[in-house]
Amino acid sequence: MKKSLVIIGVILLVLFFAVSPFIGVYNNLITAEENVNGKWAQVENQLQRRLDLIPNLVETVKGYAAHEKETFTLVTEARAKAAGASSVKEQSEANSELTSALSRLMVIVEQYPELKANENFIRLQDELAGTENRIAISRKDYNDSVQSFNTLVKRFPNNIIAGMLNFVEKAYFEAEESAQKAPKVSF
Amino acid sequence: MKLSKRVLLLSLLLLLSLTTTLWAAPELPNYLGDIYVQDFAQIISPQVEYKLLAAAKEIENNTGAQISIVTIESLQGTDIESYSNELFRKWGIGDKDKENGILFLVAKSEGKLRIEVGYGLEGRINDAKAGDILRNAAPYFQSGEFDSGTAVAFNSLANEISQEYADISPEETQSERSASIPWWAQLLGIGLLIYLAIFHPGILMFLIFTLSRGSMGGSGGSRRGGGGSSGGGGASGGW
Repeated sequence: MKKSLVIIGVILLVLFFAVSPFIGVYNNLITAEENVNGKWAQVENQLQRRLDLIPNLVETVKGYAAHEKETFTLVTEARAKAAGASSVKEQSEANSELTSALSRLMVIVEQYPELKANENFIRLQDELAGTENRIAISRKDYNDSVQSFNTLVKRFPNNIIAGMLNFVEKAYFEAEESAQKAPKVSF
Repeated sequence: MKLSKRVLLLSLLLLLSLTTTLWAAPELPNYLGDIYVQDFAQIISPQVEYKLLAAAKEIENNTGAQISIVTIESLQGTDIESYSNELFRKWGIGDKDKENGILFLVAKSEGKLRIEVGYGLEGRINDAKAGDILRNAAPYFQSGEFDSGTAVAFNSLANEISQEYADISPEETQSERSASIPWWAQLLGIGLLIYLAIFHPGILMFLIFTLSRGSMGGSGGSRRGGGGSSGGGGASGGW
């Protein structure tokens, strides 16, 4: 009777020591993953903010430069595409497209001094610039969190445990260099 | 001893240069004294600086919001947006939970201005409003009137903050603690102090020592950042 109790106790103890590192690693991974998710939510927030700004911006520009239809459709299409994107990779691609479409729009604006002097437009431009900056910062924060998550997943012996528990590396939100610069427009 | 110190310094420098080359981040200054006015570029006159300091302190006492005015000589090659965001987070301007800090940054040689707004004040001072404030202040900077330009921007920011916190009366936030102690408890406290002074002066000394040390980081010493953060809200401008 007493012997069997001791045996059960020993088995439990061994089990505990075998499982406890898993628990520690698992908790670390979960914390890091939650951090990534939180940072991603911030990125999505800011991207949404930009999407919300665009119709108003396009309308204002239209009032002064109605015949620049091509650019308006470009922006509207890029916006629709970005609104439909879901995965990190899709979002990243669609939004860099939107960024370049928007900078095309801003190039046009340069040709209309009256539009540039419009107070409503100036303030919209502030909002857009602020939003772009928020996107840049939330993207940096997100990428930082992904980096620490990925390091955690890849490090030994976490990689074995992470593999067993189905933790995979997360994708970075990449900003293409070309998208950050204003494209050249030939006249 | 001397050698080890030198080695330590050298490795520190090496580490610093390594991190700067890796991240291409500018070397951000630390603030000296109160966080409110840090005139690294030396463009604000002492009189105005004193006034700004007093006003910013009063704003924090009344509303809890922190305004920090920073002038720098140069951005060291980075854009003003990332510089101000990193500085904002490094210093932790504003309260950690309320995130009610504001940074007004002036980069002298680049002729750039920025207002960076903490999360908690983004509702009151949206990007367009921050842009308006900068556009009003920019002409002064252009004509070299740094004092006036800074004061104009500061006053607008202070005005917005006081509107944001208009429903909170300053008496409520300030004298909460002292008013909540009833007179008999105060009497009892004084009696206890007298008792300690006469019979256990050692304990009294110890109490005074620990209490004064505790308050040093708070309201006793210079005003520090409260750990606030910013997500890049605000506006940039220049002259």
